[in-house]
Formats: sequence, structure tokens, C-alpha cells
Amino acid sequence: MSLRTTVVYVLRRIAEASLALIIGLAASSFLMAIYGYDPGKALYWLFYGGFGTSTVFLDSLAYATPLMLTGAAFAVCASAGIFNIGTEGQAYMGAVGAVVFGGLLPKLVPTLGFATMPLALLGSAILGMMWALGPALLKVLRGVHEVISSIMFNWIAFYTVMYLVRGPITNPARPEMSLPVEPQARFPVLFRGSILTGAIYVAVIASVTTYLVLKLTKLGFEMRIVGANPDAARYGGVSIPRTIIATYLLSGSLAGLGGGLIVTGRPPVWSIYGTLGNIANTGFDGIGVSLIAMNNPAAVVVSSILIGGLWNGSRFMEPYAGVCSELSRAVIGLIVMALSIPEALRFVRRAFKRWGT
Amino acid sequence: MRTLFKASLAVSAFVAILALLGFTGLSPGSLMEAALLAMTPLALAAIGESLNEKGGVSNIGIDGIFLITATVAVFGAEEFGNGYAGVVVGAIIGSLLGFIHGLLSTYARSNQIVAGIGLNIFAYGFVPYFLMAAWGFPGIRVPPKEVLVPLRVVSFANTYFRISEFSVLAVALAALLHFILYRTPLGLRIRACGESPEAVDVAGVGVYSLRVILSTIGGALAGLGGAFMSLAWFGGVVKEISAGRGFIALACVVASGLEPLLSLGFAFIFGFSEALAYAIAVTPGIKEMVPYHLVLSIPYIVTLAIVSIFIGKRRFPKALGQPYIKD
Repeated sequence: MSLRTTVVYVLRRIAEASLALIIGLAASSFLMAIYGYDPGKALYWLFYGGFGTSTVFLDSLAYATPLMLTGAAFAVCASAGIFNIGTEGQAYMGAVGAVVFGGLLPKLVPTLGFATMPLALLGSAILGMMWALGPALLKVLRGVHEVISSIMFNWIAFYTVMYLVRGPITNPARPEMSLPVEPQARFPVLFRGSILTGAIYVAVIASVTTYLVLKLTKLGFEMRIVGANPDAARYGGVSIPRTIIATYLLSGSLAGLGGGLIVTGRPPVWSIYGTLGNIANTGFDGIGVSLIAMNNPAAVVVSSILIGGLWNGSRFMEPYAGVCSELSRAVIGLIVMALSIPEALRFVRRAFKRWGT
Repeated sequence: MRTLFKASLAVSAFVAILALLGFTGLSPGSLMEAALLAMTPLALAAIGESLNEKGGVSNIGIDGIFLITATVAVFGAEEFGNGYAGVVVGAIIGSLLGFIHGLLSTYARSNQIVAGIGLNIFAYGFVPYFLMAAWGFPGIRVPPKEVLVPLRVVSFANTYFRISEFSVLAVALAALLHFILYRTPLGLRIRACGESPEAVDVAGVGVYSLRVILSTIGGALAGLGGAFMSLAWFGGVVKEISAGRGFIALACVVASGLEPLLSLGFAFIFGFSEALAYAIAVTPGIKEMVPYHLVLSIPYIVTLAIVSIFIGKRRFPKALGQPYIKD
């Protein structure tokens, strides 16, 4: 691709995402107006609170960090034609992995103290991967559609983690949350007064590496061909079950890492709440992140900032405009619905046709 | 004959299990009561969805429809001061959501799974927003008792048994839809619409309009289920009221291979497992033995097990999930 085509291509993608964003915001403004809220004021605080000042923008980046990974996790599976909406449960398990390997293990085996951070990262990736293995095997061996099995695994993970956080890995001093991870496993805060930590480097590196794996390696090629044309893959000698399982494992480890980074990379709690309040919805909103990025793991880095900003801004919308902060999730849902419509995207594509892509 | 044999085998096995449970201190009567209540929303949604999927559109947004309709049904019941009016409101909003999903899946040629995921995520945000906007209290609404839908009490062999008329409606609808699908020309059209939409199109029936109608009916039944959940079963609404039941309803549909009567049976199994899990979690003498939160995950484990056992033999309409594009 020449430079000009690349630029036009990127611009077109941005225009497509913006159109979906506008549809989502318009529909939610309508919902707000029905109940007598002031949509202008609410949207002002939503965006001012997400992107208005450098301080809030840094916090938005912090919220974007785990979403990058759950977004990349969904994108990997989507490129192989799989809808991994189990990233939610995989992120829960990843958070448990971070607590077990970064909080519990160093206490039990103090000699491992020097490796606490890599262990916590590895542990969260491995637990997420193990949780993805279930839907993968059910799909390959029994043909169970991944959407149904993944949701069941999400709920089993929800109750299992709730049990663990209130039982075996609870914090004896504060029973409403899990053990915190050790100070060595915590990522340092990058700017004073913000909650952005070095965890974002891990997220960016993992997302870009995933992109490179998809584009440059044999495995990535096999994933894409299984997603684009399973028959061609079969005739070409690609083992579809093996590829699906590999895709799932990669995706699960990314989602698990995302859940783990909430624990090791976001002050001030460094643990899991008993209500799972701080790790909930990471996986679901990763779906929106990935779809806005057209399921491209590198573009996920950018789109996660948009969703992270909506998360952060919604905390301002509630006190200043009186609108329930969870409306931001409704906006994300509307964006996803708008993105499902190829006709809307074709509209943008026609507008860009004159410029040569 | 074989089906009849299998069915009677399943029923006798079930009665045996129920009798055994009686020995552990769980009351079979109240288990059945709870099982029928838990079955009803799953069955209503599953019946609607099997009709919808026979026509070629799969709606994985049922969970979102459950959530939204459970909430607005309470609102409707309080506005009109009548539980049944609330149920009607739930069904109307459900049909509206089904209609929108139908439009997206046909005329707009959306990816049906993505549209469904979007509907679910929208509901996860809309419901807490709506609870706050309508009643100014976060996360939960318990309406006054007068506007709930009461359960009917029937006496049965010296014991009283509480049952809802909507459970009966679900059974009747399953039978009716089975008859329509396999014994009427309309049913033939619906099935053809999922197997080979080109043929239906050539025969002069609008594929899109038929699919939108089916999707609307599916949404209305899911909405009925959602309204039942908040108004007849729980007597109120919390922001996580559906707890993934929309997906369990989908599991009924795929495990049954889109047969309304079979999916009713699966809905009963899932309802029973939920009733059992709840009974274990609250019955003294048993609840101490097992961790509360792990018991609550039983229905989801049962769902996984049943779907993976039964799905192998099923075949699905050829055009299921594919947008139909006219040349």
C-alpha cells in the first residue's frame, strides 16, 4: 500500500467508527431527553470527564489499559471467525491468577519474591488461558456454539471468583476484598496524581505483538484463513480444530492478562473487590473496543482509549449532570449495534470512494 | 413409539430423583413449584426463539430483552396499577426490541451475533439507568404487592400447590407452535424460510417481512418471560435480574434442535436445576456442607453439560444466521 492509500484507509476507518459513535450518542441523548435530563450537559461532562484535561486523560488511559487486552483478545478470535464473549470470565480468572501468584504465593514461598511481578503476569495469563480452554474444547469436540458456552463459563467464573474472594484468598484484615498483591508486583504510577501505571506498556506491547502474530506468522495466517474461508483452510491442509484451540488459548491469555493488570496496575486497591466491582465488564466492553477497531489488535490500542474515556467520564456525568453513570454502557451497546450494520459502513465507504480506496 | 418410551423413561427417572431428594430434607412439592416458576421465562423465550431460528434469524440478545422488559414491566404495572397491564407492557416492549433486531438482521443485513451482543450490552447499561431515572434509587425496585401478578393456588392431594397461569400458557404455546410449524402451510413457509430463502422468495413470499414478523413474535415471547420474572416470580426487579437466563434459553433452543416441545422439556430441566441449587443454598442441614456461591453456579454447569450431550445429533436450518441478499 502506498502512503496515500494507507492514510485514506485509516481516515475511512475513523469516519466509520465516528458514525457509529454519533449514532450511539444521538440515541442515548434521545433516551436522556425522554426522562427530562439535559443531554447536552450530560455529554459535556461525559467527554470533559474523559478527555477534557490532562489529568483526566491520564486516568482514561489507565481505564483503557485492561480494555486494550480484552479488546485484542476478542479481535484475535474474531479474525478466526469466533465470537469469544467469554473474555469476561477469562478476565475474572486472570485477576485471580494475579492475586494468587502475586499475593498468595510470595507469602507462602518468600524465596520467589524477586520474581513476583513476572509471576503475577504469567499467572494471570495462564488462568485466563485455562478458562478459555473449556469453550474451545466444547466447540471443537461437540460443536457447541461458543456464544452459549462462553456465557455459561462467565457465570461459573463469576460465582467461583466470588467464592474465592470471600473464602480461600480473602484479606483477613479486610474481608470485603481479596488479598492484595505484594508491592513488588505493583506497577509504578507514571505521573503523580493519576492512576496511570506502567501496566499500559504491557498492554500496548501485547496488543501490537498480537497484531504482528496475526499478520506475520504461520499461525496467524492459519487463523485468518480459518476465519475467512474454512473450506479453503481444510483443502489447504490447515487443521481447523488445532487452529481454533490455539486461537482460543492466545485470546484467553490476553483476556486473563487484562484482568490481572487491573489488580497489579490500578491503584489504590491492588486486589479484587468481593462484589467484583472493579473487574466486572472488562471483557464485555472489550467487545466494543474490538468492534470499533474493526477487530484489528493494533487499532485496539486507540479504540480502547475511547471506551476507557467513556468509563472515566461517566464518573463525572453522575454527580454533575445527575445521569446514572451506567448509561455509558448503553452508549457502548448502541455503538456495537450501529457497527453491526454493513449498510451504515457502506455509506461511509461510498463517501471515501472518490479518494481512491 | 421410541420417543414415547424415552419420554416415559425420563419422567420416571425424574420422579425417582425427586423422591430421593425428599429423603435429604428438600421438599419435593416446593421444589416443583420453584422449578415451574424458573422454567416459565426460559420456556417462553425458548419457544419464541425456536420459531425465530426456524425462520433463519438467531437472536442472541434475549438476555437483554429479558432485562429491559423485566424492568419496564414493573414500571408499567405501577403506572396502570395492575400486574397484567405490566405484563402486556413487557410483551410490547419485547416485541419492539425483537422487531428492531429483525430489521437489523434482514433489511440492514447486520451480522446477527454482533447486533445481539450490542443489544445485550445496551441492556446492561440501560437497565441501571432506567431504574435510576424512573425511581431515583440505584439497582433495585420492589413495587407494592398490589401490582404484582399473583400465583394461583391449587389444592392437590391434600397439599397446596402454587402455580402461575403463564406456566400453563408456556406449555400450551409450545404445543400450538409445534402444530403450526409441522402441520400447517404457514409452518412449511417458516421452515423453508430458514432452509432455503431463495425458494420462499421465488414462491412469492417476502423473506424479509416473514423474518421480521417471526423476530417480533420471538421478542414478544421473550418480553413476556422478562415481565413474568419481575412481576410474578421475584416480585421486583434488580439490575442483574436475568443472570444469563437469556443464554440458558438459547441453550434450550440449540439443545432441542429448534423443536418447541423439546425446548420446553429442556427449559424444565434447567428450571429444576435452578430450583435445586436455590433449595440447597437455603435449606438448613444441607447449606452448611457446600459453599453458597459455588452452589449458585450449578444451573450453568448443568446447561453446559446438557448442551454438549444433546447438540451432537441436531441439525440446524441451512440459512440460519445468514443475511439473505436478493440478487
